Amino acid sequence: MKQMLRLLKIEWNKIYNYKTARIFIIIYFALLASMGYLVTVIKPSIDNISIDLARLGAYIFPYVWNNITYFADFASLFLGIIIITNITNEYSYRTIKQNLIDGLTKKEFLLSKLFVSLIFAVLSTIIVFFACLGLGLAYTQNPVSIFNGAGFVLGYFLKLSVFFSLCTLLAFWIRRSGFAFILVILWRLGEIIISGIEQINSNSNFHISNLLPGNASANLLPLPGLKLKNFLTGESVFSLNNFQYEYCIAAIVYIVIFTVLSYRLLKKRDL
Amino acid sequence: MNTVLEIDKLSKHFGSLVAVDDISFSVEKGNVYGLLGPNGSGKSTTLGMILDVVNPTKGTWRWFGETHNPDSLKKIGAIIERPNFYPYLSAAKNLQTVAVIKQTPYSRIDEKLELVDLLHRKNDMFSAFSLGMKQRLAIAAALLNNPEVVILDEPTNGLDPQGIIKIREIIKHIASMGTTIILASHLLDEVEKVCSHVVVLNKGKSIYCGTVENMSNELGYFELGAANIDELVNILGNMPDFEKIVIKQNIVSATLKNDMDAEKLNKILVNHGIYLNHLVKRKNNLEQQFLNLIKNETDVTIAENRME
Repeated sequence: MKQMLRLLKIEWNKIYNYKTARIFIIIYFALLASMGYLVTVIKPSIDNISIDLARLGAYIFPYVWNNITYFADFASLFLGIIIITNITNEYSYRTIKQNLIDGLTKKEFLLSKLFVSLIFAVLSTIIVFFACLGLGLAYTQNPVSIFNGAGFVLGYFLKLSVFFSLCTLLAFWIRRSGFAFILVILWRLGEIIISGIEQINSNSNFHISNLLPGNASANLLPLPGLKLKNFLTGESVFSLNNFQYEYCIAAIVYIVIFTVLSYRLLKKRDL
Repeated sequence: MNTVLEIDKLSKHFGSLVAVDDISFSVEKGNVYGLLGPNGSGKSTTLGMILDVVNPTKGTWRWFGETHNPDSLKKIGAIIERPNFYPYLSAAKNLQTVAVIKQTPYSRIDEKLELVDLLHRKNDMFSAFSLGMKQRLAIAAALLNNPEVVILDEPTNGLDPQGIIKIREIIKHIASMGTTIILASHLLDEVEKVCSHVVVLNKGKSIYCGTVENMSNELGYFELGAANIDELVNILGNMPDFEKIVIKQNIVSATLKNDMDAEKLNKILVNHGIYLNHLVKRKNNLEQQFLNLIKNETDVTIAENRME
């Protein structure tokens, strides 16, 4: 614990005093925290028909858990950029070398970066959890089980963690922020293409490409399902996706693999 | 236990290039060591290995007589190649980061900034510093934990003469406090001015290790002047103590084969009826000795190659 605080103190100095990162972080968390309110006032319009998501039942239990976590996940790109530059800067300033010479071990160096990712993921998850809970309590009229569907919050946390540990690995590997970020995007596109090819060529319901890191975490947080016929009856147009716990295991395996690979890269490479 | 650092058969290969080749030497407490060699001779790679940022191919080293452990680096202060800091942080904030890493109280920051004459700039951003100031900040950072050993890699590289003098004063000050210093440099006169011991590297090999004085086992030479030069040369030539006699612009330079002091030579020459108007005993300076060492090494290599 003391060790963790020491490492976080080092990172706090590095990140908080870096103006770009500070602004990004403040905007991100401000947006996330006010999301619970913002989604109720934003009414997108299609063909001049304003769509009130609240009236479509987007914010009632249990659908709110899936909808809000799915939506909030897009903002994690912000944090991905910060995590990548926080590592690649250490290479461009050559401060990683100086940190190690000053007595930080390679393990501590990696841990300090991972703690930052962990804190980002935990804070985001807590904020999103309360946003879902608040919206659900405000909009749900029929008595239902509140926490039915709350597994998506766990899915959100794991999806962020997989994404952050992938960003960490690519940042350590590429050592240039621009290229690392392009690779993150190419990686995601690559997985989508692979799974597209597999789905065309396979008849079975199970697709092995679903277990690729990006696809597995996307399956943790699926696109909210829609039942448009419910629109006529005035019920919620959303349908509840099953939260698939098997993808949690895949996600945890990837977090471990990416972290071990980051450590091995750091350990083996000369600075 | 006064051995601060023992290096045993350390090697580093980058692919087919042998950057450091089987180097062994040890560093005793309280001395100032020069790690001397031309660019690319393996100085920085050697330092990188003992500081844990370059993985060795072979060999071991021990800090403070202990087997390797992460805490040994906290008793060392080191700067490598050029000052590495976060450009967007102030001098004080940069040192705070170092202090947390080294687990040293913040209270020492002002003290060390004062020592390197940067206290008045403590709240300025690192990116606004001149190279000399950056280098001094790096020294302050290295001293923050009151280290037992300070490692400085080319600390005056790229500085203007004023900056160089300032850095050398600081180094001498550190040495006067009894801190062991390892100074890597390709500048001979720098090593000569501040070091008591020297390790000479060439092409990754250590070709000399010992005190600066004993670096060359040569006995030196006399510079002599007299009214009758020819007679002087004649007499010197008949003595068994000289191996080489050269006349340059009316000054005779006689290299010693057997040791002899100036007084004795003067006496002998007076007995022969020669009265000197110029008599100096000199040793080659470090630069010449260093070039001789490297030249010898190259000659040996060429000879070995021929034998093959």
